[in-house]
Amino acid sequence: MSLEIRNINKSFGRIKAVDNVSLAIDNGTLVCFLGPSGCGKTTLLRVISGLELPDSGAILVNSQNMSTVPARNRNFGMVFQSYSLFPNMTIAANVAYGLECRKWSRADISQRVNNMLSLVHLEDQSHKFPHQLSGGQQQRVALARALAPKPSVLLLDEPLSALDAKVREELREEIKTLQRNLNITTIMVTHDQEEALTMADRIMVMKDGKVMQTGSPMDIYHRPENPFVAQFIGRMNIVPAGIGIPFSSNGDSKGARAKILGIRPENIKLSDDPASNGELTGIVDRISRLGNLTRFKISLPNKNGLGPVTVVSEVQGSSHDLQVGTPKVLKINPETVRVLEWG
Amino acid sequence: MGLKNRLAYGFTQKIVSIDKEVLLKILVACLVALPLIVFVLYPLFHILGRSFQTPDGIGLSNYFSVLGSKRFLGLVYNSFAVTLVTTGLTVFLAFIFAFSIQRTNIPLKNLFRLITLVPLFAPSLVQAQGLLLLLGRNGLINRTLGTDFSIYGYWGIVISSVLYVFPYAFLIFSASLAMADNRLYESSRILGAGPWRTFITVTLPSTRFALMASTFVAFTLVITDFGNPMVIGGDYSVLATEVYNQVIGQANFELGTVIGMVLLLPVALAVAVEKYFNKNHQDQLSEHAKPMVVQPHKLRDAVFTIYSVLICLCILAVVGIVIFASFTHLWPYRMDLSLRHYAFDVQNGIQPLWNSIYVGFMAAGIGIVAVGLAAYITERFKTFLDSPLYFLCIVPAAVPGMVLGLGYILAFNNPSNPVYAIYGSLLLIAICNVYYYHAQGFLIASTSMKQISSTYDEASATLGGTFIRTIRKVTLPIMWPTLVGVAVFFFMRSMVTLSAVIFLITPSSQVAAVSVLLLEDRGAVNQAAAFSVCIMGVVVAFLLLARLVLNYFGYRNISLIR
Repeated sequence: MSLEIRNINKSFGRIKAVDNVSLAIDNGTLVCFLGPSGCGKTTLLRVISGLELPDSGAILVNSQNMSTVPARNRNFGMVFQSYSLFPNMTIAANVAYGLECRKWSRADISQRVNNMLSLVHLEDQSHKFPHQLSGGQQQRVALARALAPKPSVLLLDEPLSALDAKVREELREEIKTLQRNLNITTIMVTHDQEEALTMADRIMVMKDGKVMQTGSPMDIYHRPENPFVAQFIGRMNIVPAGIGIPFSSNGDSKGARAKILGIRPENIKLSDDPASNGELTGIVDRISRLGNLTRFKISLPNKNGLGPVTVVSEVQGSSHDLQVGTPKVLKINPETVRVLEWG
Repeated sequence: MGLKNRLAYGFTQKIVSIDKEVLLKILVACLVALPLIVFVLYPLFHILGRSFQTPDGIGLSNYFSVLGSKRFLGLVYNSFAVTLVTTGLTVFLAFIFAFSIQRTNIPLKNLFRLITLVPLFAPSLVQAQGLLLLLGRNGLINRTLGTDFSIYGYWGIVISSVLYVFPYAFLIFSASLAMADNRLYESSRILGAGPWRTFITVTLPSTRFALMASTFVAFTLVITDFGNPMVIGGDYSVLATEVYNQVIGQANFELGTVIGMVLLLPVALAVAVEKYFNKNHQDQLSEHAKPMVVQPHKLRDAVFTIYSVLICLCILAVVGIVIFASFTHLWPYRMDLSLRHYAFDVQNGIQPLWNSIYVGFMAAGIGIVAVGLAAYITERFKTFLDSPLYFLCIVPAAVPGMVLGLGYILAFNNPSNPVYAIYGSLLLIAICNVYYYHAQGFLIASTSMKQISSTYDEASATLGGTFIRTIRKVTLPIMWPTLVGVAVFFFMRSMVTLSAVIFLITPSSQVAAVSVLLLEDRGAVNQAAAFSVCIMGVVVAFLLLARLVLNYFGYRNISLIR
């Protein structure tokens, strides 16, 4: 199923939680809504699910308007951060719940429940109650429960944030595999960039209810369009263009001059060669050794009245015998520099 | 995108919900609101109307004649003299007692706690009843010591009222003192503060809301209490007893309603102030809080043990003497033991006790449905009716029981009113009890409702469940232990309450608590005591049964005594 949301607006009192958001999602795609807490991503998901009514806008599934259809009739599966398994029912009864709502026959229900539980490798836990299972197991049951009624769209609301790091990584793989095998259109809300980068086909970055950028994970990482996305996904040095770092103009300058540039730390190499034309020299301010990589803080000389600027460079390995205070030449490939703001 | 599509869906389409379920929700909310309007607002409205009714039409002359009279000013003075002194004493004594239970290492805490709660199981005039048996002219003390002092009057009312409100105030303080963040106490100690300074700077501020709540609860309970002053007041009248005397004694409804209105005012004010402050306050600890560890301190524990023993002795003495008196041949002349008063050789025999039990069960049943639905609607429905309904649900907290009961006579003792069909029946008494105690019952249910994550409802909705299915399959199975608590609450209060039902009973629908009052009033001390004991017995039996059922299903932490 393809899903389209058009011009969704939702306010709570004076706070605009979702500000005119539109997005089209192709069949079988996994889209992540990524952003800091309070950016409106969960509200948007709840609006799509029907648990929250938008102030305006439309939700379309296969071009069919679902905006006024109540949550229970949308046939969307939803998984909550807190698992939300019904504590008074067994695992099997939880998975069967949506099928009973749809008046499936008893035989069909029992077969479907077995299939779903074996899909998430919990077929031997069906008689247990939720509190007897670990967090990761409970979330897999929740997944099975949401998928059992063959929903047209799967909605995941921070499904992994309540879990331990190790379980989180396992389940990340499992959800992705399941989603790909079932070819089900999926939206996942997360504040974890790593989760978004590894799982999503497309990422929509949000801030203050607005969409900051939509694109493939590699698009978002390598070609951020503004300082917010640049800093939220990975680390990026944000520097004024006037400082003199070389860059090759990316895209639509529209005659405007570049104002703010972004460079990933791994794209700044430090060299002892003499500076050729246009290359900057900085002083090593601080060195942090993180084991697999070493992070240098370099201060650049004051230029064009822009004040002292510091950038971070990251180099693989830890066997660098650099001293604080050493001057270094910054080797930067202009292709790796992004213009984040035009002025 | 095609023009047709554009017309069909629009780019910024306004959402108009046409969900049938929303209509159903609004309908259910109205159905729950309707009895609140009929059984709370409508009677109040009648009282208000009647207070303006004069022989020359609508006017203020009732108010002028009451408010201008010297006797009335005396009553107001008396009521406040009793209420303020009682409130101050109770809050002070109950705070220290709760402190000794929660913040010291005294022995036998559970026993002390249980003893404090015993009076809640007895009819609400048991304090005056016991006090008379101890300190009255024919009381144990005067008889044994040959003295002749009288407890009737001001101090009798104050002492019995303190005993009456003590458990309520204790429960509030105890809950508040049970919550403590040990980190604050450790910081205070590390910074060099002594126990007194720690108490002033840490303990007291964290209990200020409990302090306020218990003050207002005590104030409301005492100023509206009518059983104790009736029994032990003698010539000392207060507003609550005057309402009864005007209405039952002299059939003067107009003056009764005016005094009722006067009584309503301070109570409504107290409740409004309490709710206002409570709204802006969440009595919750941060999730990082460490549980309280009481430091050992021998002298402190010794002092608090003595204090707790003294308090418990007072409470036990009052209840114990009532139990003892019920077994004496003829108090105070023949003190040999006898079971003859349990034959209930009085008018109506033991029927009032059965009536009380029926009323208790009916109130429990009606109460569960009324309060459970109201809590579900206000917590989950998210319609525009939520806040008006919430307000309606807690309005009864501001209405003195006598005022509500009086309103019932005025509103329903009228053949043209449909409720007249059940007027004078036990059913109406049960309904009256449900709506008199509606606010507290509602708050019990909605607090527990709040603790049940609303994502269960949302999970059910996204899986295709209607709200009816959600209630049936999810909410009720999770909520039922709390609802058992609600049932116990309504049953208990129905068994012991006096003020709301006093105007509604007829000879055939008399309830046991009223029997105690009437028997006490005509000097049948032994039978009155026997009735009180039976009420306590029934309440305790019901409590034990509920406890047993809950324990059997593994719900040990549901509190039943409120």
